[in-house]
Amino acid sequence: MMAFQSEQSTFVAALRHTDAPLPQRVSPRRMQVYQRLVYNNIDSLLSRGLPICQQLLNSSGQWRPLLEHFIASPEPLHSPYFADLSAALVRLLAQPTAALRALQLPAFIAELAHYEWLELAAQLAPQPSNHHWLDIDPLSDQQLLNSTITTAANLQLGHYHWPVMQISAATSKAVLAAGTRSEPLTIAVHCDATGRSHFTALNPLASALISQLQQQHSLPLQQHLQQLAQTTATTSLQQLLSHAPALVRQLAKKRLLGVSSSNEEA
Amino acid sequence: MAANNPTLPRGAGLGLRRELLEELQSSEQSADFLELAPENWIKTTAPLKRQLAELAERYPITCHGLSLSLGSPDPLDHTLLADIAQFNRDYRVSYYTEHLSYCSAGGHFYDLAPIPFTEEAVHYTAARIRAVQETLGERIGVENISYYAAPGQHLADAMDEASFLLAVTQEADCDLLLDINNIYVNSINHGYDASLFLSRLATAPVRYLHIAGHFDEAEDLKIDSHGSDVIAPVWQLLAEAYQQYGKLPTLLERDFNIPSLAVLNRELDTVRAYQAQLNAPMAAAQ
Repeated sequence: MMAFQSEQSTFVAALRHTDAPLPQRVSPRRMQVYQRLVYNNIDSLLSRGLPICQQLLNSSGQWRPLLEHFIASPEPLHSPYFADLSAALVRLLAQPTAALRALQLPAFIAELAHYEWLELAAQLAPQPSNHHWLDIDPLSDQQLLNSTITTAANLQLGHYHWPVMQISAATSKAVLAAGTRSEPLTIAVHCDATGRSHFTALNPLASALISQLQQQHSLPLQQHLQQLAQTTATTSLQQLLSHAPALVRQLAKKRLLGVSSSNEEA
Repeated sequence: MAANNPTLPRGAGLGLRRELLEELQSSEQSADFLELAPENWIKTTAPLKRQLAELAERYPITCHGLSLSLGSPDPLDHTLLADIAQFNRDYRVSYYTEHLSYCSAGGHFYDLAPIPFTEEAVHYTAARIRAVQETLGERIGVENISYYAAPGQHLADAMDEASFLLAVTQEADCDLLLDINNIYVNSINHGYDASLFLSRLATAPVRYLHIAGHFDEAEDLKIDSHGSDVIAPVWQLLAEAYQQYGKLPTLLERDFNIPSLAVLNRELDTVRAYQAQLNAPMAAAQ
């Protein structure tokens, strides 16, 4: 390491940790300027991506310690893009270290952050302007089962144990007291062509179907259902075949998925 | 191999912020060009990209990068560089500049840290700038940043800031984007004479200027916030820069407390008025 780089490493350590030793000939007051600039910048960027987490933890006095911990842990901050900062905090919260656990954040915080990030992820994903979905109404159930179904290009799924849609600074205590949900919650977020986000709570079958569709794109619906019947022990293929067409029509109405036009002969 | 020399826009440009998009779209052309940070627009929502594409039809676009981290100990981010090259093609960007700084070391910290002004740092940073120019296929500008501490001044090969700027731009064969407000802010924060500093850079390859407002934290500490109007001593320094370099394209940066376009247009008019002074007899006689 060259001499100037060793200065850089001292400087950056002091910029990230308020209690790290100061670089030579740099006064505490000037180092504090940098510490404050970094903190305020990251704080302001996160206020766009994770506003509910920020507000909630600010009201409990836990936001600053969390952010200081985040800044001091450079590992997740690989992206040169500011839009990825929220994702980095979501990753940090998902794998709590001992130091993070010591902050005693609310038990739902990792899921709440993920839920907030989900909307950003949908907005940043490719937009569905190039979707050519067929009109689903004229198709019979049998035609539907033979068709290729595609999900909205930017659709994101989140799976939660906490009722993330209801959490805010005002409800946080009540949510914690009530505990996790009896069954997991799946939320789909997608963006329409105008950039508006749409949130849909999914039942387990809808969630499993969409996950399945997202993994393999070009199979007819019927084959997807066969694979689903093999992986879910609770539902028989017969049940899936009878329920799926109505479910697909319902999800298509919300533009979460549609009948692909590339498979017209089916 | 000498990199392609880009053709710069003329006049007075405005830093493009999301907050200004709608006003810019619905009003007559005001700025002569727009400058933006590619890192804010490469990864953004589709509606914002569409708005940007519309503006790029009406205005020449210049790019002022934030995250390339030219002086960083981390390897140069070639993925980001490829994204920037693509962005520059997509929006027909006429000029690309970056900060002579670093914003990452084992991960990003999303702020601009001062590279120690040393001989070794000159060689290291200049080599990286050359690599960037090679990839982009064109000459770029690097900007004198505002800094609140000068680490490494005790090192054996340390130099002053002006020498550092001259040495890096010469060795990298790149332009110096001169930020006039940063000269002023640094002159207060580090106790030097701004005009003298400017005259030391008389031979630097300067083709493009930045001007902005700053925040007075204390008598001896100014913060480069881009959050207020340009102050009189900075306008004066801009006039001196025009005397020294001629009438260069000049970009007004405003990132916080963003006023209406009408207010920003008045500052752009002030820039143009200073540029026009150069056509006045006194300047022509030089």
